[in-house]
Amino acid sequence: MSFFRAAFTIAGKDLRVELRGREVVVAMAFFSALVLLLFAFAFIREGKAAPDAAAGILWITIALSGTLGLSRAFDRERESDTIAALLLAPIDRGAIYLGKLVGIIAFMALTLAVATPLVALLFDVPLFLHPGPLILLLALGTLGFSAVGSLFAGTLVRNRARHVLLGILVYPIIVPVLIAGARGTQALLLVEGADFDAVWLWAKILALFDVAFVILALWVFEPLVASD
Amino acid sequence: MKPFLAVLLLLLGSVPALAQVPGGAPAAAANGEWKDADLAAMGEGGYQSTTLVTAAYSFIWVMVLVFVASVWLRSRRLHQDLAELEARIARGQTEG
Amino acid sequence: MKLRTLDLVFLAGALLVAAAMVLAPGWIVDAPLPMASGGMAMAWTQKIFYFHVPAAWCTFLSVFVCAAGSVLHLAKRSRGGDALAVAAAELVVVFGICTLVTGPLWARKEWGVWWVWKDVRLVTTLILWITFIAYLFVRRYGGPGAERLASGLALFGAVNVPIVYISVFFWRTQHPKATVVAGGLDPKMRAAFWLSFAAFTVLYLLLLGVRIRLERARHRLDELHVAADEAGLLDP
Repeated sequence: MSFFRAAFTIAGKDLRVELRGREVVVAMAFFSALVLLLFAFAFIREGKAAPDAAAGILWITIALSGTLGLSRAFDRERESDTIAALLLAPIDRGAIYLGKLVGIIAFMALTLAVATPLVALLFDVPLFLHPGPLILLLALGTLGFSAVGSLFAGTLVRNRARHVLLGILVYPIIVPVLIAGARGTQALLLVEGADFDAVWLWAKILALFDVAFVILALWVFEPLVASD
Repeated sequence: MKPFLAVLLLLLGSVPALAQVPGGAPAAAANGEWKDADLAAMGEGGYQSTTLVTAAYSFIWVMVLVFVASVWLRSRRLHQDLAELEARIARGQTEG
Repeated sequence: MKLRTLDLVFLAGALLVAAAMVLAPGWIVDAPLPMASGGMAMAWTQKIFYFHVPAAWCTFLSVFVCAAGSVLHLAKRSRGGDALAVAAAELVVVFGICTLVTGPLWARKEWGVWWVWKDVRLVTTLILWITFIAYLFVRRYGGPGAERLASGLALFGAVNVPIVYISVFFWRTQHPKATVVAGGLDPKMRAAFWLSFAAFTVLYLLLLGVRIRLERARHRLDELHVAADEAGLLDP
C-alpha cells in the first residue's frame, strides 16, 4: 500500500468510527464551550470583555480542547490494543502518524466551528469581519498543535501516566504556536482596523513551525513508538 | 570519581568566597575607577547596584554548587547500590 | 582510587576554572562601563552582563548538546547518547535558571522592571527552561520508554529555538543585541567578557563530563544487575 493511501485509509477509519458515535467531537465542542464560559466569567467586568483578551482565550481554548480530543481519540486505539495491530501492519510508520494527524485535524476543525462563533459572541469581537485571514491562522495553528499532539499522544498510548504526561509534553512545545496564533488574531481585531501585514507575518511564522513540526514528527514517530 | 568531586566541590566553594571579598587583591586596584559611576547609579531606584550584582553572582555559584552536590549525593547512592549488589551476589553464591 | 587520564583532564579543567574565577572579578570590576543611549554611563549593574551572557550561552549550547544526544539515542539506540542528553538537559535547567534570575536583576535597574513579557528573548528562554523541566519530569515519572519520549521532547524544544530567533526580526525586542559583544567594546571589557565566557564554557564542560560519568556508571550498574540476575547469582 502506498504511503498516502495508507494514511488516507487510517484517517478514513477514524472518521467513520467518529461518525458513528460522534463522541470525541461532541466532547471537544462541549468542553470548549465550557472553557469559554469559564473565561467569560473570569474576564468580563462590568458587562464588558477585556478588549484584547479574546484572541488569547480562543487559542488557549484550542489547546485545551485539543488535548482532550487527543486523549480520547488515542484511548480508543488502546481499548482493544488496536494500536499494536496498527504498528504491526506492513505500512510505513509515518503513514500511521499522518493518518492519525488528519483525523485529529478534522476533529479540531469541527470543534473550532463551534468555538470561534462562541468567542465572537461571548466577548463581543468582530472575529468574522475578515473570515479568510482568520481561517488561515486557525488552520495553520491547528496543524501545528495537532502535529505535536498526535506524535506524543500516539507515543503515550501504552503509558500508564499518559493523561498527565500529554499536557506536560505538548504545552511547552506548543507555546510559541499559541503566541503566534494569538498575536495574529489580535492583529485582526485591532480597533483601528485589521493590520494585515502583521497577520501575514504571524501566518508565515506559523507555517514555519508547521513545516518544522511535521517533518520532525514524521522522522521521530518511528523510533518513539518502536518497542524494544 | 568521589575524591575528584570532593576536590571540585572544595574548589568551587572556596573561589567565590575569595572573589567576593570586597576590595580583595584584584578588585582593590580598580576601586577608584568604578566608584564614581557606581555612586551616580546608586541614587535612583530602591535597589543598590552592588547588591544586585552580588546577588546575581552568588546565585550562579549557589546553583552550580547545588548541582555538584546533587551529583555527589547521587554518585554516593550509586556506590551504595553497587555494594548492595555485590553483597547479594556473594550471598547468592554461598547459598547456591 | 587510581587516577586515570580522564581524571587528570577533569582536574586540569577545574584548576583552569578556578584560575579564571580568581582573575575574572578583578578584570570585570576594572572594565569601564559602556555608555547608555542617553549618553550617561550605564549603572554598575551592567557588570551582571559578564555572567548573564555566558550563562545564557551555556544554556543554549546545552540545548543543542541535548538535542545531539537525543538524535544519537533515537537513531542509533545509543545509551551514551542518552547519557549525554540527560546530562545536558539538567545543565539547561541549572544554567537556564541562572540566566533567568540574573537577567531581571539587571533589568530592574536598566528598564525599571524585573520582567518584560513583550520581549521575545526573555519569553523564549523561559519556554525553553520549562521545556527542559518537563524533560526531567518525563524521565522521572514517565515509566518504561520515558527516555525516548524525553528525547522527542528535547528535539522539539531545540527546533523551537531557531524559529523563535528568526521571528525576533519581526518581533521588536527590548533586549540588547548580540552585536554588543561582537565589536565596539572597550578592550578591557572585551578581555573581561571573554575570560568569563571561557571560564563558564570550561565549567559547563566539566559539569557535563561529571554528570555523564554518573549516568554511565548507573548504566553499568544496571547491566551488572541484569547480568547477575540472569546468571542466577542473586539471592532470592
